[in-house]
Amino acid sequence: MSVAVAGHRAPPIVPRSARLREAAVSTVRLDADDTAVARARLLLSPAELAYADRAAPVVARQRILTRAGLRRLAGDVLGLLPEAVPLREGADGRPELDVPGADVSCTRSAGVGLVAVSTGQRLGIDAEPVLDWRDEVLAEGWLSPAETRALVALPPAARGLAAARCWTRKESLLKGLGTGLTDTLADLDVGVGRFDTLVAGWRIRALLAPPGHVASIATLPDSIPAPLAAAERSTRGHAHS
Amino acid sequence: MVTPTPEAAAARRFPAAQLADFRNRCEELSRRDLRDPSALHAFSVDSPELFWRTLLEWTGLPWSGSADVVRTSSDVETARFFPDVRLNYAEALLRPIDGADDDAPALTGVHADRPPETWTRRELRTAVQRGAAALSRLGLTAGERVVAIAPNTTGVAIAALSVAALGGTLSTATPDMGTTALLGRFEQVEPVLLLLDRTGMEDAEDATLALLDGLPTVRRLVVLDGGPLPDLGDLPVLRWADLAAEEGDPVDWPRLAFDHPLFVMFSSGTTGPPKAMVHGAGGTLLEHVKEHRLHGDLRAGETLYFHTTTAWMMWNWQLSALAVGAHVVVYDGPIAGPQTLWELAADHKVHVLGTSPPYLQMCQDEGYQPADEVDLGALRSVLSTGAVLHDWQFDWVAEAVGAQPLQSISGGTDIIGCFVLGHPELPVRRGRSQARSLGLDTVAVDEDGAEVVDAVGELVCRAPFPSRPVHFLRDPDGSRFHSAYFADHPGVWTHGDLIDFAPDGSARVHGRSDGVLNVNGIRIGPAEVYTALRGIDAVTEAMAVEQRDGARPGTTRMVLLLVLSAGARLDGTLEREIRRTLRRKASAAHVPSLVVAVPELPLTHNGKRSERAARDAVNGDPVVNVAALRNPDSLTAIRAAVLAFDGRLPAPPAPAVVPSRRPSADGDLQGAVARIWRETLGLAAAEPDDHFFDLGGTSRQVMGLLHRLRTEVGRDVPITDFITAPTLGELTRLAGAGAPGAAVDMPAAPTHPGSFRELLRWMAEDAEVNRRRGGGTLSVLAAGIFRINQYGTRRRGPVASVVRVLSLPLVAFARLGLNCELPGELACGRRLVLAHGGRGIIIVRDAVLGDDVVMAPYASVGAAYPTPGAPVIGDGVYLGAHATVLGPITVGDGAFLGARSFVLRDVAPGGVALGVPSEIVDPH
Repeated sequence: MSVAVAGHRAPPIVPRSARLREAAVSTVRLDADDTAVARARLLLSPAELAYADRAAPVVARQRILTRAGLRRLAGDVLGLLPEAVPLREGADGRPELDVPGADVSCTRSAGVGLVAVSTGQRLGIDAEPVLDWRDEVLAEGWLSPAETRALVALPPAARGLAAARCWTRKESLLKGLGTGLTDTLADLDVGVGRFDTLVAGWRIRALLAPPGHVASIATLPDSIPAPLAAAERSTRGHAHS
Repeated sequence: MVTPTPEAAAARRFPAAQLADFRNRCEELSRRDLRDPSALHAFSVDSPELFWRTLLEWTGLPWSGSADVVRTSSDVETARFFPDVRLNYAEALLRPIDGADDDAPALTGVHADRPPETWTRRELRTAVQRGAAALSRLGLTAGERVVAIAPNTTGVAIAALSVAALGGTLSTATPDMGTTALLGRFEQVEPVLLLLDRTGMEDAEDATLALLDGLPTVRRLVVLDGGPLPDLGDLPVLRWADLAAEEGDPVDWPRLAFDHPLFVMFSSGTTGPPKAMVHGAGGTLLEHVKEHRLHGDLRAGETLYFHTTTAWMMWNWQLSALAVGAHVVVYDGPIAGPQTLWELAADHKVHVLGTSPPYLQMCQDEGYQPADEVDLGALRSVLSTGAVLHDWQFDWVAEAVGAQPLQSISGGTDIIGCFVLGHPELPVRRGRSQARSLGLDTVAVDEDGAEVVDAVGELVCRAPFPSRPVHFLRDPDGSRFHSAYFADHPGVWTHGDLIDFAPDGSARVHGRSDGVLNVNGIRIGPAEVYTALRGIDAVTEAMAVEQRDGARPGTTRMVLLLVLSAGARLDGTLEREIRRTLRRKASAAHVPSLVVAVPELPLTHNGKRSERAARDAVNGDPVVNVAALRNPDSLTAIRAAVLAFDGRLPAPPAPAVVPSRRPSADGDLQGAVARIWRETLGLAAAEPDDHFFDLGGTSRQVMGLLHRLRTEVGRDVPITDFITAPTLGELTRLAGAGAPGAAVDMPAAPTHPGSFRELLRWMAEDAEVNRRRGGGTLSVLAAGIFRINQYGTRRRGPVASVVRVLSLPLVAFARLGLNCELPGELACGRRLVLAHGGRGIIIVRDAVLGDDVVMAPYASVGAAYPTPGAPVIGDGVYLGAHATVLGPITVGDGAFLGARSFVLRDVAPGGVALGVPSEIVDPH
């Protein structure tokens, strides 16, 4: 916190995305001031603004900033202005890109959002804060038997992180699939560890997240995204923002 | 430790560091053993005349006159150095040097969008000769002031050196500061000449006109870029390229007084316009050459790149590296990503790279590994300045870059140099700067001015040094200069930073001591914030402090603590108004990241506000000077308030409606569902149309919500059904609670004390009523233990956890000794009376109790097995001895449950239950 060389601002840094081999991911700060939110609003479509403004003010700001961040990243990747990125809302609230072969996903967790864009495969990302462990988590009905065993085998101090990670792995997979939350989460076995895993052809891996959070990304390699039939999808169940 | 041993470090630097050669010379002249680094530093401050004279001679800088008088006195404020020495800054930088190849690159300009251009030392000298001659033909003379506004290019460097060659005084800045900020600085300079590079300027035409309007003393505009020349009426406009191409005789570069003004630098004050500090040529040159050669061991032929703009003193600092024969690289482009500076370092075989902690943090956050991506074989050290360099960043550099020393340097525009910086022979200690600057008697002192070691103190310099400003502009009697540095501790220079020195001479800077905030590299004067807030009636007191940003390590953000006037609430409207006002009256940088209302601000015993204590509290750090505070409880409230606000959900607003815990008349199930919904989302009120995700709920929280519904209310709602329409109304319907569109759930009164302060208040109230109606000490005790337990269990945060742990033996006593079974999770309002010490009273944790509930001995409240669900008991309800209330029922406000009554069905407000099983009679 000291001003080592006082009085002047160091040259501005405009970070770009970290490029994973398959997808571009970038972080969006959600505690920006009103000017930044107002600027972000300008980038959104009327439908996106309406969706954001429905929410409580704090949530609305977060949705606006995250969606603006997504548009900026997609704009970078596709070479378009953020306002011009052809984002539309899929049937279940999942943001879709009207560009063949390209896909987007975003997530919010506390003061930070993550947005991701890929060209050539479907993807889903999710970030969660690491909460204190409570034994009730085992009874909430979303952990598979193997995951439950894995959690119980961990020391209690490590379970909160592992459970949060497991959740992000499932959630990122479901967001990639576009199915939304289902009652059969416990049938999905994605594991509680941080290592890459393959589930039903999807590759799930850990993403760098701010301290106190975990994040995962799920990608379906080498495919042109084929939207699931409407009947197979469940309705909005995620903060797609 | 991060870097190699001294032996290995020394071995890298073959031949031996220049410091060694200088030290030998000092040893010869002083006949002292100066091999120990602290001995050498001690020599430099206890024999200043010998030290500075030896340094001047050893550096081989060109000068004339006499160095017999090194300094005119020992007074830190008024002493002048080398009054009889004359020199020329540009000559010192550009003269041919033994050991520096005149035809090797000396200055390279790198760009984001075009190839770099390089000047050899000879070519650079020629270019400056032509430039100086051209400026002389325009009439520029020694002592006149010139302003240059340009990005960091070779063009502005050449122009700057041309000005310096003639003895002109230069002030620089970068175009993207904006006209207002530029004029705020430069109108004080009153320049005769404006050098302008409009590349990348927005609305260049308008900006040019605005600048010239604000600088009426400018007689000529010289454009450094290739764009069209503006038409400015009778003000001559020229292009540098044309001037430099003119034929003409070269001019002499006069050697002027040591203190001849060379640069005007700016530092933001806390009030009013930025301070304009004039730095002398000799002081600047000598300090820079000392730092480059002795501390950085920079040599002729080595390449230096320091990432900076022309608005920052590091630009001047790196330019001076030409005086040692080094090759200086400048870059005018953006940081496109973590790779930018490392690629630049690799492309240009940079030996010494200067950067900042935020940049290093970005590389670390994005997983960029420089050593894997580019060839850093030439890089031999990395410098960092501008903000605190954290321990983990030292580790990261060691891992991701290599064994090169990472030198954290710190100083100020005020001294156009560094107080603490690197040392070529010492290993790097994580988190610390290696050494004090030689010749500067820098120490940390306490409030009384006594030196402290291994403790944080105020950074002061006890003796004069050459690179102090010569004077400030607009300060004819020197009073502004005096109050800037010499008012706090008499006889020493107080810099305004907090620092600690270890016995080995290493140092760590801890922040500003004058309350000036550094928010991500921008200095904000809190006084500016307070002035701007003066017009807002609801705010009686305000304090702005820095907080480490938990989401982005290595950065800081501003937290604004507010004390509001009676009856005012910090709601969205007020907060928006505050932010708007700050942005309008101050600047966007003055808008805080976090606005928090607190009951009071920490004060010392003399009634002075303690920003330091508030800052420590806000950061979750232990407050060092708690004993010095008049109101240490204020810190707890601050910590709790910051914790509550620092999360993902809005903090629950204070209840505005008459407190009643009673849900709608329709059913307790609806109330239970609403209660679970509110508690999951952390809200105080809920309406049927509330949408789970619009209120900030996450998918994971859905799992917890539905789980609680299953276990507490006994209803299993499938996820997909809820997700179809995730509103409270739908959820209630799905849970089978009855008719849709039921009445609004009343906002709940507080069910537990919300803060430590409130805990104390509630306990005081409890004690009062228990004394009066409960029957004495045991009741007070039982109620007190319950309340502590409740606070510790239901509240989050460090204070509550501590309270919880401390309360465990008390709770055990209550259970075993008093036979009183009140769980900490119980939602229970104020003024609970536990008659006769609460003997035999049992309440399950899912029950809800209102305010003013009186419980006689052996009253119990529980579930009616096997049905899940516990009673909701309203305000002012009396439970007689052995009264038993079971099941998911509601007991209305003011009801009377007689002794031994057995209540299994709802009781209306004011109702009376008598007998076994109870016959419910209406109130009469």
